[in-house]
Amino acid sequence: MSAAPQQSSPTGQRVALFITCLADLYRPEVGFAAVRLLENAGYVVEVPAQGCCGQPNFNSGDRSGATEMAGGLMRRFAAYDYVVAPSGSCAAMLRCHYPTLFPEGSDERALADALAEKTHELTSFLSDIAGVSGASVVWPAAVTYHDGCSGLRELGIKQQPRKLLQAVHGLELREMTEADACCGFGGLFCVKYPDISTRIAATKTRDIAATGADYVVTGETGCLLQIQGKLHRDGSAIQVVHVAEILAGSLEDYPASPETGGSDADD
Amino acid sequence: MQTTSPKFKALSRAALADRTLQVSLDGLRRIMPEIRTAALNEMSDFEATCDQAAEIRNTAIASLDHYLRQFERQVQASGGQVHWAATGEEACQIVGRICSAAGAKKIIKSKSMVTEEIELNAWLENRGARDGQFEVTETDLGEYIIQLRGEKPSHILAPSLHVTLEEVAETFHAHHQIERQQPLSDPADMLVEARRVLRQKFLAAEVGITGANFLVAETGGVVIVTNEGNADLTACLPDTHIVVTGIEKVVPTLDDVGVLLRVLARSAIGERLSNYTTFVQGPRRAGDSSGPGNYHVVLLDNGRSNLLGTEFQDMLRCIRCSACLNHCPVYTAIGGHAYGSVYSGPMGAVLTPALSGLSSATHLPNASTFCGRCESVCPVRIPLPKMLRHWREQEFKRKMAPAGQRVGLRFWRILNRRPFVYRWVMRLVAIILRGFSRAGKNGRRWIRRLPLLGAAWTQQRDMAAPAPKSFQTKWRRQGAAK
Amino acid sequence: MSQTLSAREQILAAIRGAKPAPATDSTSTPRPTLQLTSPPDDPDTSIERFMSLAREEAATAERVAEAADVPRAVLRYLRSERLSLRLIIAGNARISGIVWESTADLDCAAEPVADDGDTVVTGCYAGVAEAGAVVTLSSSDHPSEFNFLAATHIVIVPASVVVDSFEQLWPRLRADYPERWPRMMNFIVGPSRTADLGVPSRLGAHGPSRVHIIVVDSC
Repeated sequence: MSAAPQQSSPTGQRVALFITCLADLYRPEVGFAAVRLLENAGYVVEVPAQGCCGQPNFNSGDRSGATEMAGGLMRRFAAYDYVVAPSGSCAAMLRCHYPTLFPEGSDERALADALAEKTHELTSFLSDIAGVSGASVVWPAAVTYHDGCSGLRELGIKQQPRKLLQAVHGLELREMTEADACCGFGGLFCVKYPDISTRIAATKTRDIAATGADYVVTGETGCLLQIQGKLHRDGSAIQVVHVAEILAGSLEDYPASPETGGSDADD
Repeated sequence: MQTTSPKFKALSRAALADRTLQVSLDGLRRIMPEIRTAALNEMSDFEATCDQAAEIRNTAIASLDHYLRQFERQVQASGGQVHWAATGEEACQIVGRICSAAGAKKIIKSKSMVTEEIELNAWLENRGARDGQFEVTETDLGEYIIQLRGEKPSHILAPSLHVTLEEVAETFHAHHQIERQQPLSDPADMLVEARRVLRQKFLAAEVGITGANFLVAETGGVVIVTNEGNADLTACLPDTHIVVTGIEKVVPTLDDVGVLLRVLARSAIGERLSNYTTFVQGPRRAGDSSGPGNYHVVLLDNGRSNLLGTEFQDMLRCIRCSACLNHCPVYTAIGGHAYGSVYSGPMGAVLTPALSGLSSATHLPNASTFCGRCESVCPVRIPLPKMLRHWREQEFKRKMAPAGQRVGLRFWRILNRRPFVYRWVMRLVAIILRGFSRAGKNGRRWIRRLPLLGAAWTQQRDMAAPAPKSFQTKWRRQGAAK
Repeated sequence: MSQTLSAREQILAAIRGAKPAPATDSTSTPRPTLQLTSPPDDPDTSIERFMSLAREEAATAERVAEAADVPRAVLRYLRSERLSLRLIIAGNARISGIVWESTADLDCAAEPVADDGDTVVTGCYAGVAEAGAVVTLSSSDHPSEFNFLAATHIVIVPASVVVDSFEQLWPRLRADYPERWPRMMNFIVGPSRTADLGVPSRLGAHGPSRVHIIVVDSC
């Protein structure tokens, strides 16, 4: 059950990793897995000093706050060939919504359009642009995949993570009923309307459990926290992992969490 | 329009705890997307047809005055009368005057969300005829059931979704003076009984009031869609037929109606077409043995024209199919009553603030995860999440959001001006959150209880603790170490 | 009078005053005709589709060669459903060649349909194959309430009036009624039904609980 890194000819292109605030805080192993995947695909990966993309402000109606945050982030990521995020919702914020924050014809708009063009969610970048197949990873497990709503409906991400997962040796992908139904996270929604949010999560965890899979996989840290939080509270043994962690072979090579051993833990 | 939307949180909590409602909603959530998918898969060009449906609705809205005037001329040429009402109150008065002028007391209605919106039944029953009360009977079975129970609709197509069969039986026992062999329990018997009781109402009625699904400008036709046939009986038996409709329902031509009909029933109930699609073209003709002698169309504005030229204009395209309700994770968790409005689900969350004012409906645009499923199933391509966001923008500008939220967003904005400040504050957040955590499964630390805002999460969910060091911190150390 | 007049002017002024976003004029765009997974290429396929889709919605349907065959077909149907042999015949059910009264066992009447329990026989204006829908127009030969008051509705559909799609129906209607339309046009798909008393839907909500279609090939 080893994970051999995939060798491919270096492209030399520079990718800025957009870690996203939730992964930065809660799940850094997602970031390291993403870096590994991108480097294996031949890209030079850098992590410019960064913060939040502004989605919480944007979705809460604070357009001027979102605009200010977008302006800052755009400048920090301007100099790269690609910007890749292990999150459909954050990538969609940059791709779909940043341009709408700035008036047509303005310099910021040009910057936002340029950024939108080169920003990608991780699995769609690996599959559609880098041409990665993920075949060198061995990880026998029964898993089910949860589609994050933004990635699916704003960026059309559906097949790419599945294609990559299905190439993992020994992995069995079982589709849950309504894999594309919302998990109930919804940004601030999960704490503003916690009862409804949890009820939606309960439908999702019921569908996950019905597959008999040992793992549920997702491409969104927000969804991950929500589904994991509900499963754990219910005493379920089902574990939640980010798709990058499986594809990078992180789950055997690296510790499962940052708490124990390994070069990443730093207590 | 009266709403109870400020009570949203309490109502939604009650709905979540209501076991029989949850069973109905679970059924709705599972079945409706399946049958819709089956119906649209039968067409090789369903998505293109929806694009065209959206275009047709846009054309009508872009020249609404022109098409309404054409429609009005055609109705008048056929011998009907057209009335315009700026507000719900005006519409009720017009209907009341028509009924009084006809000397009518017994009124039957087919399902019309517009008449629910303006609370026409209550108006007629309270203000009523000069010499005695109006008696108004809903003839759509779902509407009839909630009328007897004194309840509001909980779904725009299935108004009695929240009522169990046992409750229907109880209601019929309480309200029908009928000799029965045994108490009602079989829905087949309930249907027979309802049909008998309502048949008498149909035959005795002096005025029939319907809504409209579409208004055809080309011919002056009013299109009414049902599965029961009650609108048809309502429109052909009494001597007076009144159509009450929103002004936005007009479409230019018959061909346009054909396109819209193709996507309406498929989106709504997974059918190619409803059982009855009826085009009404004026009063009885010479030579007709039956049909109303008096035919009236009441065109209602009630806030619709205010949406024109605004970022909410696209909402006027809505054809009331209810696909967005059926596919919404929030609606299918809490049902329609929690919204406190006759229009619920995503379309209701956009339309209710528009018609009754944002301050009476502040929760509705916020109670959404922006999953986007509604937009993906809307047959006329209304960008519902975007409109909900626009309402949130208005709330933010008008400082209607809770103070804590405004302060938090402002803090987040300031924090993100400098990445190193951001990193240090997030380090502090991690330390604080980890302080509430304990070692647990899978080599992780877990948080079971948090105070303040965090309690909203931990009441019903655990939280995996943040990492001891953030990704950026580790990355920078790795970089420094190399 | 002046109150509603000013409401009209108010509303139209509000509409004109707002500046709706421009839209392309869809009336000039040719409409794509419906493409079902197996599009029909001849009238016979249309008729088969028409009958098959109507059956899917709980109507029953049969085909006879000649108009003269219709009364016997009706008799068979009523007997198989164990219904009374008393029929209300609409004027437009007397299409060429049908002599209802010649079939001894049928009790034919030409009178208004009563409250309920009756069987009516009508003709129709058209059939639309894309939805399995019968199209009827109100007239003295076909009072609209015949479609809704009776318990059983038998519709005689000449093969020649079955069209594939709505797009083929509208030009016919416009040509047949250039001045004034009949008061009511109904598209009817199968019996009346409701889901308000649970699923699966129950038949016979307010309209008929039985719809029987007889397509006549020679007409």
